[in-house]
Amino acid sequence: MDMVERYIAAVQRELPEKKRDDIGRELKSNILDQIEALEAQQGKISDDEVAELLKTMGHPRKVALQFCPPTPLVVTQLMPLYLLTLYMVLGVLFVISTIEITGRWLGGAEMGLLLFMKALASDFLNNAYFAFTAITIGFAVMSRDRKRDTADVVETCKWSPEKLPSANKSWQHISLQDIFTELATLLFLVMLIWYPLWQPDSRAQSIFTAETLTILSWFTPVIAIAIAHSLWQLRTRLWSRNMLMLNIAVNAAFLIVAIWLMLSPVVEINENVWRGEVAIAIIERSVQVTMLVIALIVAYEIIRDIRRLLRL
Amino acid sequence: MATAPLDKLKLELRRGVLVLAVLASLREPHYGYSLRQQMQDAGVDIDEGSLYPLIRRLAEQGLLESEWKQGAGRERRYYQLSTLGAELLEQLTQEWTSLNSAIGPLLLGKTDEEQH
Repeated sequence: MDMVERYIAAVQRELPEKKRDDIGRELKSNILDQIEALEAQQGKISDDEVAELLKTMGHPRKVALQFCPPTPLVVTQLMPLYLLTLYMVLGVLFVISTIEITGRWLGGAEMGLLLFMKALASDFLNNAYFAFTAITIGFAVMSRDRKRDTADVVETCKWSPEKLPSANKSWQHISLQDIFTELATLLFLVMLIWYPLWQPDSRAQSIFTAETLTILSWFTPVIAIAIAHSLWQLRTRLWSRNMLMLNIAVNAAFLIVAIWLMLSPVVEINENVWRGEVAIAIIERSVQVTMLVIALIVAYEIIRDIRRLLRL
Repeated sequence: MATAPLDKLKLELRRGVLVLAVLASLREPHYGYSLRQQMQDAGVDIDEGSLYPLIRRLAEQGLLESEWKQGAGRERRYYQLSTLGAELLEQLTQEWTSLNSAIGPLLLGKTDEEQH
């Protein structure tokens, strides 16, 4: 009997406090019934046989879990909303981190490309840890209360099947990752162009030559359109004919500027810092290669979008 | 080879049916062990680890009423169908009968024409 008591106590230890006594009392009654039934069949049973019976019932933790199965931190009904919130918030944080680190870099902080990437990753992860924890706790509380669930949320949204956009092709769906990467890139570019104007009191100087800066300044409205387009993509998450045409136009403008910049000096090189013609030539060559890569990527996207447009 | 998927599917198939079997068995009051015995005698095998938590869950949902009673020198918790449980059992039985008559011919591979 002592073994039965110990078994029940072990199960109770794994149970929530308010259910311990009740489940323990019932479990004891059930076990004693089984022992009684065995004794009725084969007479007095030994401790070994009791142990065998308890083993067939399962490990105390398993039995406790069967009585009180663990509830997930976020219930299934809230999971789609939870994931969407997580992706959106993390995407926005990535954009904010890009702006912040670009600001620091343009403000004179000494960092190469690797340090820039490291600072960006570090800043993003710091914010992301907090956001992830806060969102998860928020949804855990909502799951606990069960006051709202996805079914309610969906039902309150007005929608009709007739108004759903047609999406026959899998490529028409735009991933959140693509949108936020695009947004971060565009905002980085805007900051690069306009930073000296935002910081008139500082001694920050543009990294571009006067001619490049003029070209890029005139190009800013195109970047603004691209940003607005990305924000619109966040709402629709689906490529339409109009959106494809706009993307082709924006990318065509990017291609022209990239080719133009490939053929002229882009970066203002401080000869006091970069001594020697070889070093300057390497920098100019690197910029040209970068422009070529940008032009190739943009050209690929234009061809891809034209093909998609023809197939729609 | 296909034991794991088979076990999983069998478990899913049995889950709903066991609820029906337990509710039907508890038209008369039973304590945990006697319920298991009754179900086993009827050919429905269920282990204690599944049965006892299932009865408690059904009681928490208001489908069963429970009462501690003294008998043979010690206490036992007796369960019986509540009014709500009886109503639901009736509806579930209709559902089961309807499903059974629809699925039976499907399992035997009979078409509509063959049935008529």
